[in-house]
Amino acid sequence: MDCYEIRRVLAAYCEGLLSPEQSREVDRHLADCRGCAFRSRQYAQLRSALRQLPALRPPAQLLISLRILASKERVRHLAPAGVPVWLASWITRTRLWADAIMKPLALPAAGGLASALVLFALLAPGLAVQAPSGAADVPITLFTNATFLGMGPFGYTADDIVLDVTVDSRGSLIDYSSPAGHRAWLNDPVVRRSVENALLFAVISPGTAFGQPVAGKVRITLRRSSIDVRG
Amino acid sequence: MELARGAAVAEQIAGWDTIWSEQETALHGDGESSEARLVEGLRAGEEWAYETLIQKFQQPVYNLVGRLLADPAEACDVVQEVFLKVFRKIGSFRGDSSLKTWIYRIAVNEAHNHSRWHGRHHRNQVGLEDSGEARSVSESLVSPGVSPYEYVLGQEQQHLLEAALAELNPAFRSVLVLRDVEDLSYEEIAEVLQLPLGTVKSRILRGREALRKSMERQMEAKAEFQLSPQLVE
Repeated sequence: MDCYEIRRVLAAYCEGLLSPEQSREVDRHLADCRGCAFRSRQYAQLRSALRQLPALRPPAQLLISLRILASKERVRHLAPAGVPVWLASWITRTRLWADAIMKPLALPAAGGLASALVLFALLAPGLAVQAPSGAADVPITLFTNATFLGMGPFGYTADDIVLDVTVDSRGSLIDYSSPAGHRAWLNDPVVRRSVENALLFAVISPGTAFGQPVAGKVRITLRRSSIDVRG
Repeated sequence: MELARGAAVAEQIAGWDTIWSEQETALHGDGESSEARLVEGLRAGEEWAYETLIQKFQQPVYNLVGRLLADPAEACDVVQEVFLKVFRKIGSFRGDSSLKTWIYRIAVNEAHNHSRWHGRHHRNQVGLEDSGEARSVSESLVSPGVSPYEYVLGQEQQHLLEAALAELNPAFRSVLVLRDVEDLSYEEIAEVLQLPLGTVKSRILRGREALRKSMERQMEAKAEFQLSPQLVE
C-alpha cells in the first residue's frame, strides 16, 4: 500500500478496526514512512487528549434545582388523576395567583379610590353646569335644510303646483323644476309666468352646514289664492 | 407520651435506614438488578429512587451535554430538561437498552434540539462571562509534580481541543464525545444515537479526521498571534 492508501485506513488502524493482516501491512509501512507515522501519532495523541479532558463539574445549584424538580415530579406522579383533582389544583393555582396579584395592589387601589371619591365630593359643587336659556341659543344641528318663509304680496291664480326650488347661500332663487307627473302646466305660458312671478317674491332662508349658509333645495306647493265660484 | 414519641422516632429512623439501604444498593449494587430496582422505584414514585438517579447521572449527563453544546454555560438548563423527560417518561422505558444508554439518548437529543434552537435565536449574542476562565481556586492550583510550564501547556492544549471539538459537525462531535469522553462501546453508541453499527464506526473514523483537521486549523490560527523571537543586530 502507498501513503495515500495508508492514510485512508489510518484512522481505522488506530481504532483497531482493521484485520490482523491489514494491520501488519500498516505497521510495516509506518516503520518506513515518517509522514504516515507522524499522522498515526496525531490520531493517537488526539484520542488520548480527548480521553484526558477533565470532566465538567456541575455547579452546586444544579443539584438543588434537580432535587426540587424531582420533588415536584414525584408529587405530580403520586397525585391521583381525574377531573376533581385537576379542578382542585386549578382553583388553588388561581387563588394563589389572585393573592399574589391582589396583595400588593389592594391597599394602593383602595387608597386611590377613597382619595378620588373625596376629591370628587369636594369639587362636585363647583362643577355644576347651569343650563343656558334665552334666544341667543344656537342650534347645534350641524346641517339644516333651506326653509320657505313666505310668498310676496301677490296672489297666485293658477292650479296647485308642486315645485323644487334651488336657492343659493343668500336665499336667492337660482332655478326651479317640477317633479315628474306634475309638468303639464309648463306648456302653458300664462301659468308659467304666474308661477315665476310668484317665485320672484318668495322669501326663502338658505340651509346651513356647520353654521354657515349654503345653497340648497326646498320643495314648495303653490295653491291658488282665489276661489272661482261657478254657476 | 414519651414512649409514643420514642416509638415514632424509632419508626422514622427505621424508614430512613430503609431508604439509605435501597439507595446504597441502587448506587453500588450489581448492574442489572440495581438498575431494575431503580427503575421500579422511579415508577413507584419512591423518594430514594429519584435521589439515586440524580446522584448517579447528574455528573455524566452534565459532562456529556456540556461537551455536546457549543456553549457549556447552557448545560444546566439542558440537564434539567433531560431529567424532567426521564422522570416523566420512565413509564415508557422498556428495558431493551440499559438505563444509562436510554438517558444518554435523551441527553443527546435534548442537546441537539437546544443547539438548533440556540443557533436560530441567539446566533449573535455574546455572553459576558467566559466559561473557560471560570475555574475554582482548587482547579487552578497546580498539582504536585507538574511544572507551571507543563500546566499552562496542558491548559492551552485543552482549550485548543475544546475549540476544535466545538467546531465539528454535531454528528461527528456526538460520536467522538460518546466514544472517547464517555467511553461507550460502539454498540452502546449505536443504541444511544439509534444508528446502525457500521454508521457509528464510519462516523467515528470521519470524526477523527475532521477533528485532526480542525485541530490543525486551530494551531495555525494560534500561530499567527505568537511572537517570534528575533536577533537584535
